[in-house]
Amino acid sequence: MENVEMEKFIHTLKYGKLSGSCKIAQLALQVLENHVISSMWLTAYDLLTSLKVVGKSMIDAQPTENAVGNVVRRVLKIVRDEYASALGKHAEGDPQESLQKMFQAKGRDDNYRKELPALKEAIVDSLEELKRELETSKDNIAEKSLEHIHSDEVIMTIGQSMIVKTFLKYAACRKRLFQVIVVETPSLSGHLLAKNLAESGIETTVITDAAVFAIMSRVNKVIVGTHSIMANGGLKAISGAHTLALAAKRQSVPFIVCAPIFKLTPQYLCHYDQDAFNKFGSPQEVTGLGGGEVFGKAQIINPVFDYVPPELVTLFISNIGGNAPSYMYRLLSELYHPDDYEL
Amino acid sequence: MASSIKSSNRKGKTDEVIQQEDIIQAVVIADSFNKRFAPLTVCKPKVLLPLVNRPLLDYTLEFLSINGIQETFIFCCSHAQQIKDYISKSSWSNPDSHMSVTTIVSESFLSMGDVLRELDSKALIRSDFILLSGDTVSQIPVRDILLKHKKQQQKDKGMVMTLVFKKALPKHKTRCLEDECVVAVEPETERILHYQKVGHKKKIEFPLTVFQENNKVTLRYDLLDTHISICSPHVPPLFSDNFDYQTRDDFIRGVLINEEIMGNTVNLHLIDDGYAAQVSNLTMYDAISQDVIKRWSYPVVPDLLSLPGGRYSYLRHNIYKQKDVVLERHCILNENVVIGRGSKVGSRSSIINSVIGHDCEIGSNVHIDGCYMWNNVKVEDGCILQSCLLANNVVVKKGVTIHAGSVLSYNVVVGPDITVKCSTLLQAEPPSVDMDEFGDNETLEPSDSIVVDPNLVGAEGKGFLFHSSCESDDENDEFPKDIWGQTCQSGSEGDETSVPDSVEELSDGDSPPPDDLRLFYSEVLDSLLRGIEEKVKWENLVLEVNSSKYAYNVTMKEVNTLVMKAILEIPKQGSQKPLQPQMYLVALKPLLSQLLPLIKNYMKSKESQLDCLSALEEFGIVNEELGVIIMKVLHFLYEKDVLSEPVILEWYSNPPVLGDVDPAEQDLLRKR
Repeated sequence: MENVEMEKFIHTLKYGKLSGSCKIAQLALQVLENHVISSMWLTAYDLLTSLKVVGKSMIDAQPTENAVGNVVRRVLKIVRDEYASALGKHAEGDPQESLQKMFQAKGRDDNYRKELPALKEAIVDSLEELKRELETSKDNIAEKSLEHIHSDEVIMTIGQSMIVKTFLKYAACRKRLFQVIVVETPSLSGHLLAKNLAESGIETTVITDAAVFAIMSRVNKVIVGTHSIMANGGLKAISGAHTLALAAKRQSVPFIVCAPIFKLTPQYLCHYDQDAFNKFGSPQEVTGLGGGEVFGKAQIINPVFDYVPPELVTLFISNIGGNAPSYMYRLLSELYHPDDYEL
Repeated sequence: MASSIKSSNRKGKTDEVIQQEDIIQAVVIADSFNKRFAPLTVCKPKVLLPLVNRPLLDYTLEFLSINGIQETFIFCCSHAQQIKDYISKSSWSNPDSHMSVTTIVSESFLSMGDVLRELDSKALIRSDFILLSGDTVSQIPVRDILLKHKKQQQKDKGMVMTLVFKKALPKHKTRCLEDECVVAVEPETERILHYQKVGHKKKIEFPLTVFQENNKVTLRYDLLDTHISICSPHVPPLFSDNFDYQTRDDFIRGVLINEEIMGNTVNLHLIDDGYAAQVSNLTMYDAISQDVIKRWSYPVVPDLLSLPGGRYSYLRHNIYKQKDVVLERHCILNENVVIGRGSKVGSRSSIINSVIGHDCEIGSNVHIDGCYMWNNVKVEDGCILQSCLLANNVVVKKGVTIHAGSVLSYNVVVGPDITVKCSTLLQAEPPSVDMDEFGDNETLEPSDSIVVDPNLVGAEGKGFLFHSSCESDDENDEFPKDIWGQTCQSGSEGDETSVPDSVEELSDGDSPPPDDLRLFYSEVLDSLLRGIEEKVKWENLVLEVNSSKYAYNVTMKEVNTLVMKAILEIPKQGSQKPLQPQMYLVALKPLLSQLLPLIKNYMKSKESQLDCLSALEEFGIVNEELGVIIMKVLHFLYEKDVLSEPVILEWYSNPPVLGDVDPAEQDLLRKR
């Protein structure tokens, strides 16, 4: 039963039928929760290992989808914390152990091998909490829009981000008047967002990617979504975002990123290739169908993501508040256990 | 009529089934019923050949499984056991996989038609199903197409099949030359009004009714046939009712012709997003491999598939590498390269547009462009390989150049220091008689070439030329062949023959006239041979010939020509080697005198005598070495009063349309 569900999830991951990492994160959490509930485990150690196996197979299905890995790490962290608190210890104040402690920690008593009957219930409760967090994260972020969008502002955004859409709409519903400029991106996903915004009464303009720099001088604020936040506070965002960020920096326009906290990943950019970072889609997305002789000879590359270095980002707005990129490392150690960075 | 009642009953039942459980079924045909991939398919089924290091069948099955198909039937014929074993070992037969895969084996399947008839007799189909071949690479949402098919069927009960096409402009690389077709569609209902394969034709004619009966007609020549079709449960019974349906094309033609009587129609579905293609021949193998590498088929790309040997990592310029690949210093992977686990590439070698399998060894200074290497291939230093396919365990010794379009089958060894010409097909086993069941025209060569030809495969080589002549027996002779490694100039032949409107097409499909003639000729030859052996009276022979004439509906003119030809052919029948003219004459003389009454019986009128002469002439042209005796025969016939002098003179003065042979004619002149 559980296997079937996971297969299904892996299929949907692989074949890109899901849009929006929020949905993916929720589904991944569902799979993990079912695993916690239905699989046979006695100690936290067993659970951690089996969760890692499940998590790994989900990550392998679509390695570029960081949200899955992040959720797995969050769940692992919950298991660890609940174990610690069930033991009566005060959920280790500092997860990052000091060097000295590591040397001394010979026979550390908590190898997660003690059988604790109440553990399961506690974990499931915490998972429910996490679930609620995922569900409400979008609205939490949107609620902050009034603090950031002011009257008569011109806001630029790129592509189609669900979170940006709700963010802007939330402000528009509360009688804020502002103008939005949408960059279309090569896959033309910007058109969809523009249509949606225009329908809800926001004054919207679509521009091509090439016009970003020319328009930037009129813009008050850039608000974008992102695919994930890297450990250093950089972004893995839709291709075109880097140009946008550079233009914004040049004109000193604030570059604001809306992202729920589950998008924060403990990975760093080490290489631009897909292996480490990017994802390359079908040329069809950019060239359209048909095509005669020429396509056989042409090399068409369609990278999906851009890396935006942290120095170009002004502010992150997440469901737990607004943070500067330099603060991300701190959040990272709060959210994940260091042992789980590498799954 | 009986069939329609039967099928309508069926329909009633299946509707309930759909509502009850809604199981979606697919039928995979794991045999292409041709020899396009020979000699690779001699010992392995085509669907298990690897495309980008993954068996073709896996692409098809995964395609079905991601579309949520619950039940798949694989029909296999040649090498069925291998397919069965493969399926039983693969993850498709896991009990918890959500698609059940059943293999159905019969050696008697000779075409797609047989498979569907079997399907009907086993009554496996409960509702609309997806019909495709086991070598399809695709990621289209076929489930949605199936639902659309069902919806349309509710509106139009006669709609039995939806053909899935993809838009691709002419000359698109993935368009198969053999499948070029022109389709007339009714734009609103997407009903196919006329479907025609292009073949060599330069002019396409549409029946007038297409335009008379419909307000709007779209004519399309921008279609790529995906060979995926959605069939309603009526389709297998239709195949059972019409035993002459061999292929899907037969079926479509049949349905369209009988549309008014049976009321069945075929629809077209155009996919505007996604990738679908069938690996029907080597050119397509090449094109589709490149599409997969260049990510047109995303997400069916090596780095996302579960492949034997682990995950591929993807680097810029479409380079895919598995683990444990050794790349020596200064070797260049240009672009579009896939390298499988455990392979090694030597220094200063360059690879472009190629797929390299597992555990291959490539030496230094090797240049590889557009090659497909399977597993355990060894290429030694200094080789240049262009657009070729090297199957498992092939060894290419140093300094070998292989030109475009060559195929080296399993275990072949070539080299050192030779050049393999364009489109050479090599196999490791000497071609044996039993492996081609077509005719005995090849029985002579194999025995000669048991010894390896060093000019062909080099001094240390091991391999034999594969004769692909049997391939021409395919009924698709009328269509241009994609020959891998060669750019096709299909337009060069000014072939503007047939004018198939619907009526002619019918006869065309059943038995084309040239076949009738050939059959008639062989019949005449047989009866003459028997007649001579058993000394049958000439009157009886005439009777026999005449009866075959009616049987095959041959004109008198052709009878005359063919009878004469057959007589001339008889002495040649006895031996295999070309006869010396003298010996031939010796053999022919008694024969002619024996059959004289028969000849006289046919060659009475002036026209028939002319026919006889042209037959003689044609024979002289075809068998050049026997040309000299034609005049002897002519002289003989003249003396026996079969041919009259004025006729011969007339024939000489205005030679018939055949291209003439001057020497024979001059001889004849001198004789006069």
